[in-house]
Amino acid sequence: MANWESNIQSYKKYMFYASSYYRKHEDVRMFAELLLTLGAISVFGLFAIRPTLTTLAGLYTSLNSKKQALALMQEKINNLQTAQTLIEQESESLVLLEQAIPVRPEPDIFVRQIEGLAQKNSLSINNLTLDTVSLIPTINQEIMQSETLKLDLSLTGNYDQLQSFVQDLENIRRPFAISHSQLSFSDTNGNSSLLLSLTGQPPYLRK
Amino acid sequence: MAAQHNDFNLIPTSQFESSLAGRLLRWLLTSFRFLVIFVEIIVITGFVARFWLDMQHSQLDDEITQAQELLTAYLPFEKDFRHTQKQLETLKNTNDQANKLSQLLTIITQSLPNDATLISFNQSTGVIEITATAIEEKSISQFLVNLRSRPETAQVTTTRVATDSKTKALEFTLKQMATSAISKI
Repeated sequence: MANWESNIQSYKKYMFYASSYYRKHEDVRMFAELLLTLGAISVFGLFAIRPTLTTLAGLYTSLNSKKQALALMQEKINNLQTAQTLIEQESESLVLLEQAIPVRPEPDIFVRQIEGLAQKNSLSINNLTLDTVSLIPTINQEIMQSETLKLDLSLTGNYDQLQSFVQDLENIRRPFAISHSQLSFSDTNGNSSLLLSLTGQPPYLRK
Repeated sequence: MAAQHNDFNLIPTSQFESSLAGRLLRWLLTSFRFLVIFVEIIVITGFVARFWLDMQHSQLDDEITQAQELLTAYLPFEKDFRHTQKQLETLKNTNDQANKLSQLLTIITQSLPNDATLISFNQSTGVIEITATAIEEKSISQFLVNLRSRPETAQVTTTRVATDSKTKALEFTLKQMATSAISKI
């Protein structure tokens, strides 16, 4: 007898025993039904319920994120509308702000203002030096980054004139942050006077 | 003689019901049927819900597109506004950092005793150095006390005292390191 034939015979025997065992025992029949039910639940759960619920959950999450994005956009639009109203209300002050922090260095205008203040207070300017500044922004220059125009200034006069000049300089529309100041006696040709040296950086902000 | 009770089942049992195929058919028509109905309910609910969710998505997409278009239109204004904000910030920072030199000069001249003369004043990043001459040592102390009475120059100290060989006057230097009070003047 061939090997496969003997195998079939033994399998048939097992099946017969299993079938008769199933018929005789009620608990086996019950467990077999329970197993079938659990199997069906698993198959349906895996191939029908899970994809449906996954799709729904994905759609719901996506919907929520879109709602959040829309809420943020609406908030930004509202803020921009408020800002526009504010800008319209403060349009007159903005002209002054543009003069205080110009978009270009405007060294010529600032120097003229300094000269005007010195003339007003009857002071003589000994030295007025500006550091190198690029009038046109270079490619590497960062936009919206405040920069300063470095200015060295020395003046001669009496104390009251110098004090008045400093006060005027502090009240000038374009802020002049004095980083260094020196006041000393100057004696030229027997005429003693005070020498005031100032270093400051008026800022500007490129657009 | 005790009565003998026997259980009788008068309904004839079918051979098919107790067979494997019969039991399988019974399972298919009971438990499996309920399972299928339950799964169908879930799937159909999902199908209907998907329609509703898709509708909501479409509505939201439209609203987002409109909002995006509006924001794009606001872009030049937004850039200008941010620039204005930065200008205000720069102005505030510059004003906060700036030392009020005129006030400092007033404090020094007001504190200077009558017989003392200011030779030089030097101020750099909050550090103040004052050089002056006085006839008497008392004037130096008076100057120091006067300066220390002001919060802006409360930390001032004497760093050098020397006698001028020509005039025999006392030349002294006072120094104050950078303090928060100076930057707030």
